[in-house]
Amino acid sequence: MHQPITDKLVAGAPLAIHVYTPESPLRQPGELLRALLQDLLAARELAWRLFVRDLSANYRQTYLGYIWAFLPPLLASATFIFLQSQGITRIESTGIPYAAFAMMGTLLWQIFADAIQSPLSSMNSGRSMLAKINFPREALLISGLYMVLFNFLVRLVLLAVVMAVWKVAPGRGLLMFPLAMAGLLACGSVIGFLLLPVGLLYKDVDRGIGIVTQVWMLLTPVVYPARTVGLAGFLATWNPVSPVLTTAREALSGLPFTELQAFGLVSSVALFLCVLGLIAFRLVMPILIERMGG
Amino acid sequence: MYKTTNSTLANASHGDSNVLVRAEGVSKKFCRDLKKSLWYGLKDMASELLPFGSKQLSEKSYLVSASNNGDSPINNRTTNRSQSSALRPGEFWAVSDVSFELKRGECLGLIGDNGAGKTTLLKMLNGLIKPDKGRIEMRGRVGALIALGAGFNPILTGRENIYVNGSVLGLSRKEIDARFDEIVDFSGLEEFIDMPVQSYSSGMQVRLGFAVATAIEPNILLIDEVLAVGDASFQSKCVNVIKSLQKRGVAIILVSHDLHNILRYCQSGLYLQRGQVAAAGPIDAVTADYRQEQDAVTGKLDVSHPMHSGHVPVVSDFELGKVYALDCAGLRRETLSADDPVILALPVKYNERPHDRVEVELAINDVFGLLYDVVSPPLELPATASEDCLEIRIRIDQLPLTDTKLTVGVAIWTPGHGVLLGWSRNNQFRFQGKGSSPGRLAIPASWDVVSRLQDEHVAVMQHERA
Repeated sequence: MHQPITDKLVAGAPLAIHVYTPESPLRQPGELLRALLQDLLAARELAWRLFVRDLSANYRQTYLGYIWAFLPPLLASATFIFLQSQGITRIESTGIPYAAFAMMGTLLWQIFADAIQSPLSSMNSGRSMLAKINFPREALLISGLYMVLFNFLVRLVLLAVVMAVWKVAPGRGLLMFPLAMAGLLACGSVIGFLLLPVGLLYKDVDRGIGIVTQVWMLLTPVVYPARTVGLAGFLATWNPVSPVLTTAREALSGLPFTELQAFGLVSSVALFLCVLGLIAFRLVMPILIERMGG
Repeated sequence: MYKTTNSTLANASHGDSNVLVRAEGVSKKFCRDLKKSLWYGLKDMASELLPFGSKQLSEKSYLVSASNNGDSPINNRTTNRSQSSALRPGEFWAVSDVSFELKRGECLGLIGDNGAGKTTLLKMLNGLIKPDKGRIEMRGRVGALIALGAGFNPILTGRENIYVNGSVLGLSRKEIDARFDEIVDFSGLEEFIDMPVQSYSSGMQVRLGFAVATAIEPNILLIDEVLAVGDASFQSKCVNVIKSLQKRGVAIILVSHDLHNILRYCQSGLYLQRGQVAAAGPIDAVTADYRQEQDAVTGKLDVSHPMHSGHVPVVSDFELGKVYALDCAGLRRETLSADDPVILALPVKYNERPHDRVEVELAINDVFGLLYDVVSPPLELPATASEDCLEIRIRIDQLPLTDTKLTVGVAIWTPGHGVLLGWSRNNQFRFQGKGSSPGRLAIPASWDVVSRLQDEHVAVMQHERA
């Protein structure tokens, strides 16, 4: 251990004080927010390190490497493209060639699904750390987010290829794309947060997420354009993800925006809930850690 | 749980800025049943997120109106959570009403059986879980030697893992860069540092984790049973690290089953038994109490016999009393000494002797364990001893020990170690040894400096009594 620290310890400079009591931190909201921001700042570097660690570990022992990032959505859309090309399904009025439509849809949906699973999976992988060490826990969430963004960038490359092959040109709507992506991520994260407390305690969530997102994908206009009538229409209207996904796809494909209002509403609500989710996360983690063992 | 950097706030309420750790009435409850525990978890989360439920408000107003003794607002708030003071079905107190203070440079030894609540207490001090009652105040940066190698990924190299682990422990990249060579040197893994950690043995991994942990510069250090890692040379490095931290004013809380380590570093101790403080104070007294408890539970005599007061006759009509010490004149003395012969007496009373001859077994323990065990040759018992005057005595000419606390146990057997007739255990004596060295024995030794080149014509013998 180094010499310089002697001065810090002996000189009696004011030390940070942590006080732990049974009461809920919500009784001191100013303190809570201050501590949250402090932890978020402290978490940046750690989150990056964890992300780099996970990335290196993921791909160091694989042969295909980063191809794994876009294989799943590619295969999913391949199924639908096959069905359409054989005439088994007859999806119309997509505005752009169906192959491009389906691929864009599934790639965008995968980003949303990743965002849902990210909080719970990064918490689960950090279980042993959480149970034993005091570190800014938000770092796990942020590193999960970095991983989602990384996978998204890889898929973006694939999206660009798809757009080039089918000659889909975005036009000025492309400016909306980052906003649409933020909205998509926010929606996914909010659901991820909601699943966190129950998911860390009960294993049902982990097992159920995959199935639920698969079913949900079919209920969202991912591989078909949004309907306005019937059950599908009802779902399209009330499914909060539809306007966001549709807007994102329209931004990329140069089609006119059809659901901007709904998109704006859903996205802003989602962003707001994300902030609440972060606060709830802080409050709820000690109770979960008690039961997490490790 | 909330954090504040306003040191003046804390100074106002507790004036001594040398106190780095303060725990007051800390309690924590857990649930035995897994399913119930998960359900309570959901309920606790709900009440955490909605702390202004009507139940709480009505309790708070009751307390405020009923108490006129000017409790500070903080005290009021910590006691009005209806959940925290009562046990729900299936719950038990894992830690109950623990209070202590720790100043700069002090080391507190936390001892107790497995499941006594030591790790739970440590988790509360570390800020991982919230106490259900009481209050904890930690002043300064808290470091922990608890989970070594946290964040390690086996596929990555040792070098990369040092950065990850260091980052988890709160070190910035610059700090890790500055101390990197020191960390690698401490761990003794220079040649393997660029190999994936999965190729390390578990001992190597733990050493690497420990080495990274030593790079933190805490004001308070929590250690949970990790000092037993590594070989002898690594162990001695650990000792130096801890000692140098103590010199620099770091407050240390050490949890260990190894009494050697506890006695080496700690000045004060806390003995937890089922979550409650069974003993607190100077470390010698606390470890002696712990040791005594251990002996009472795992005696080498038949443990199935009921343990009442420690002076138990196994055969009825054979009463044994407490062992006491005598001096050469036959008068009672309170303490034993290395300068005088040790004479111990066991009072015995019976109407009819259970056997004509008995063998008496004497066991003397100190804090670390069994020191001396001897069995007498068959001794003849008088036919009756109904008056209070029969003693079985043992005389040991000299016990060459250092200052210590002894526990004496006596067992009486029929000849040939046959039937146990009775025993008297947990008789404690203070022992005044010849000086106090870290060792348990105080035996004279003689020293020489000899030149081996001059065979029989060895020069002057220099005696120095040790």
